[in-house]
Amino acid sequence: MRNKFIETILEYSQNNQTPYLLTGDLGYSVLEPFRDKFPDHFFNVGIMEQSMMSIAAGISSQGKKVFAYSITNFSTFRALEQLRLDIAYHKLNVCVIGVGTGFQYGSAGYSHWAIEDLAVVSGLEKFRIFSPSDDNSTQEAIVDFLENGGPTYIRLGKHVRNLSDIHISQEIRSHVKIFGFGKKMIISHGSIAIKILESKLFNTDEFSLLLFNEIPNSLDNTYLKIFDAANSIKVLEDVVYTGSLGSRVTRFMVQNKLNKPFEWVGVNGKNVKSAGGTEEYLRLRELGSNYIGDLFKD
Amino acid sequence: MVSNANSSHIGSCLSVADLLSVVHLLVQKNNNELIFSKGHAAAAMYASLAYMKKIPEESLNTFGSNGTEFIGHVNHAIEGISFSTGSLGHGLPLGIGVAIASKSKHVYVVVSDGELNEGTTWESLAIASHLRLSNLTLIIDANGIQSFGATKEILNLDPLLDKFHDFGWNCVDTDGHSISLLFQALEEKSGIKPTVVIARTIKGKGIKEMEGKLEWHYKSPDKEKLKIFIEEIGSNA
Repeated sequence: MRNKFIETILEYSQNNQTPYLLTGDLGYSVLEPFRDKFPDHFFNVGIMEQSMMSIAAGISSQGKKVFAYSITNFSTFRALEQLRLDIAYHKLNVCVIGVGTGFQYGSAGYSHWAIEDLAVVSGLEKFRIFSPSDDNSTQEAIVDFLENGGPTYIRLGKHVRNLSDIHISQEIRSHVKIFGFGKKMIISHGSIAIKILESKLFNTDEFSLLLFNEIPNSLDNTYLKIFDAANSIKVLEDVVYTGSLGSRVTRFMVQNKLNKPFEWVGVNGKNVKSAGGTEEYLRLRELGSNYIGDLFKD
Repeated sequence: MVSNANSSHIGSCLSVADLLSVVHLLVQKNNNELIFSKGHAAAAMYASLAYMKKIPEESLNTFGSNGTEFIGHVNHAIEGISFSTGSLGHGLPLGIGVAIASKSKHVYVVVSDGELNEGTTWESLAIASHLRLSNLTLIIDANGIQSFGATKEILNLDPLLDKFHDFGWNCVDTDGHSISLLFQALEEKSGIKPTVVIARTIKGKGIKEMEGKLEWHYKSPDKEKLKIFIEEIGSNA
């Protein structure tokens, strides 16, 4: 997804105003094509994520679009006040890129996990938040920012094959797709979604996957029909429950008095153990040892 | 304003007032940019904008009241204020961004000396000189007092000038209450380096009871004191 990010802004820059790209000294073997083609628009500011976000805001205030790139924990937690005051409050055209989602930096340890980023950035309601699941949805998120601007956060996971290569989907609305036709609806976002579609248990007549690329602040009434049609709803995500997509789904169901079987699998932040293990090991440990299989059980 | 609103920071407003008057003129002259990072001295900023007819003078009467845009830390909703600040350590990196994107502008960033405690200040000093942003001037309102005492006692950063010099900046140390020296200092520019002006000021300048006193970082004059203080300023004018 990182390569798709850079490919997308390079392609966009051929016929449009070139955005600026700032990095906090990360992006080796990814960002070089942009750096080499647009050296005046590329700044490796060094390892100073807080100042980087303010610099990005300053550039954007002059009518420019800016990407600010780092590993997720640095670009969100480290620089939260700059995201809040300098970017969100001033409604500037800055896209914060967070690399690594959930437990993808598993063996690097807790410092590098991104399980609370959605919770934290969700509190800044002027930010649009994207959680792409593949290259296609990454490209859609980047193009959306380049065309529409505004404070934006994109959490980029690892490269996986495009989900459209596994199952066909239907676009429900911009940045939201549904896979399958079944009445047992699973809801997810981000890199974990491919696990659902790759499962042999995902029978498209029995199950459906409602996949969010953009995580809205709240679900509006256009989702009523889809939720009404489902016999059961399960949410899967590899972030903490607070501020997650599941919390928005729960609020929507309560507000609309949708009384139907509901399960929600996420990460219990209070129980997260010390670092150790790969991404998949950590998912199995934190989400449940059969977290995918359980989705398909009644 | 401050008395009516019963708000804090009159001491900081009076220390920065002289240098604000000079910077406003320099900014206005060439469509340059002013970033007021010591946002808590908002009353001084609003008053100076009113003096320059950028905003109606009567709007100052709403300072600190319910529903006003004239809040206690500078507000970008107001003409002439480019960024809302209030959290220290934001103005300098914001100014770097403006200086990068608009090379034709000269960017002036006003910070407090207490603000130099913030890590982002030092990160930004490093990257500004690395990028050779000669269109950037940092102005420090060096009144020597921060929230809990003298800056030298809280976190001594002396010798300040040497530190800026070592960070690769063009440095000027001047009297922050001398209009002519401030003009001279702020017109100093280097071809390849950003410039820092340490403006030595007095907290509460112009009112003997306030000058150099920590308590006027917080206190607001009551009506009786206000009358006395205004008479004092008038007799000195």
